[in-house]
Amino acid sequence: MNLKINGTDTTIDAPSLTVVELLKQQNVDMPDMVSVQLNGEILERDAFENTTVKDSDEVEFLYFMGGGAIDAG
Amino acid sequence: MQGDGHECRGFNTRAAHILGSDKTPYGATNAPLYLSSGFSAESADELAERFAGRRPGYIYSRISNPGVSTFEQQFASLEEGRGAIACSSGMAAISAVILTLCRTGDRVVAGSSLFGGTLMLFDFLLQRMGVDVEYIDPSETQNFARAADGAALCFVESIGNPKLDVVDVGALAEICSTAGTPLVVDSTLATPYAAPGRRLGAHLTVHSTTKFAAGTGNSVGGLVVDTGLFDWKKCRDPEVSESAGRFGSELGFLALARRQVTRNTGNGMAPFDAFLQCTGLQTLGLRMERHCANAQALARFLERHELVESVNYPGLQSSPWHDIATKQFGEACGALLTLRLGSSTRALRFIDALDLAINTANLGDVRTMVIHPASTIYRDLSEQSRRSAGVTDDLVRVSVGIEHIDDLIHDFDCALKNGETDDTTT
Ligand SMILES: Cc1ncc(COP(=O)(O)O)c(C=O)c1O
Repeated sequence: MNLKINGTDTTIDAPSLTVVELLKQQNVDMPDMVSVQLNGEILERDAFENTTVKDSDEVEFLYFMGGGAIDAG
Repeated sequence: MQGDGHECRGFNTRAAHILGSDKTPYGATNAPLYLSSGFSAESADELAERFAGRRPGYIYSRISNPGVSTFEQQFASLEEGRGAIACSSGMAAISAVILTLCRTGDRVVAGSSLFGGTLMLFDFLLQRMGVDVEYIDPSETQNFARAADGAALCFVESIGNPKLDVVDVGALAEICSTAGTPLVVDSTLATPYAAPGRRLGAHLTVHSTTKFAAGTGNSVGGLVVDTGLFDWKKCRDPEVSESAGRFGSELGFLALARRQVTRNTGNGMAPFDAFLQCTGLQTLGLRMERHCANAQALARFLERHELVESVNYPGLQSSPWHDIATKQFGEACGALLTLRLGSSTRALRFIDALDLAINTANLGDVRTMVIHPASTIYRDLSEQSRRSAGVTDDLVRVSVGIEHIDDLIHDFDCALKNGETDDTTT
């Protein structure tokens, strides 16, 4: 599937992934501390396991622990 | 990981094995120390993306630093919490919580027996900011429930310093959750070893990591942990709930605290202190076990001593808080005890007559430490504050170390007797 992750076109060798799987696949550091938006909507953490990401979805990871993300959202 | 789904739950296992250590450069087995103010990026765009929060990576050590993050993750894991922010001291962590959750016109509900520094912060700075502080005895749950309603936050110590009263955190958390008010618990004296903050039921915990986490009195630090039990979307403060809307209900507090408070006040933890405290944290469980066992044994000895008027330790049957302490903390009732010696003169003489125990304001060190609170930490506070905190003129606070118990008992016994001899000869 083709995703847009933080604005970058990304091809992933799977038809779909849950958000938890995507965080792992993308090697996201400190995944507990990352906020995830799917197609512009913030996802609550308890939905990570059961929400699937599909072709053409837009995903935004927000890394606020570095102190950034002042203008994000 | 053995691949059989076994999750390491043991406190000491998790404390000793540092999170992320499978990714350290050169296979370093200990978390490296990064003494660098800034962090570079391969391109201007990359750095801009870090500022925007769209790519991970460090920017500047006032805001965050890899070694400090390791300490935050380690501590949050021991608290079984969602995440943590490390600060330059325990007071800095408390200030960060206040600055994130309070604004002019707000009201804070505070337990009536708090550490002297926290009382001074509340009575001076908070009042100056136009934030009202209402002190309530947390054991009076009905009063507490009335006060919690509409407050910006409620603040208590799980084990009060130096009153050594123990609050029923679970009961207060229930009251606060009903009122939609976050419960902040200073759990410095309990530590995650006695009870992880999430299991206690606190919404946020704060710690002076200067104490048991560092363990050997070699650095000053603090930390706030979000246990993940408060839905920040429901927070009364509009900026906190907006932050929860943007970063998720569970991360709303941490995101605002990091992005707007610790980043801009510059009260984060220094990398070297994080390194020292990360080292200390690895043996927290072992030390606490001995601290608590020694405190229990010394308290029992002093309770029977004819020259001691009274002993206060939550692990003693005679403590009014014994039941709630053992329910919450099991045998780990902490390392602090206090004793009353009848007069200020006797208390001071006793301190001077001690040989092993050190006369100092610190606590939570491997070495036993004593202080006379009335003439030191509490000297600038009102009579009312002293009374609420249980600070009488004849009170001596003891932070029991990890020495051999026979040596401690000998030192205390001799000092009590020698102090008494002085008293009668002058
Ligand atoms: C219960 C408690 N909270 C907070 C603090 C403040 O911590 P720090 O000295 O690291 O600022 C202390 C210090 O003694 C304390 O005992």
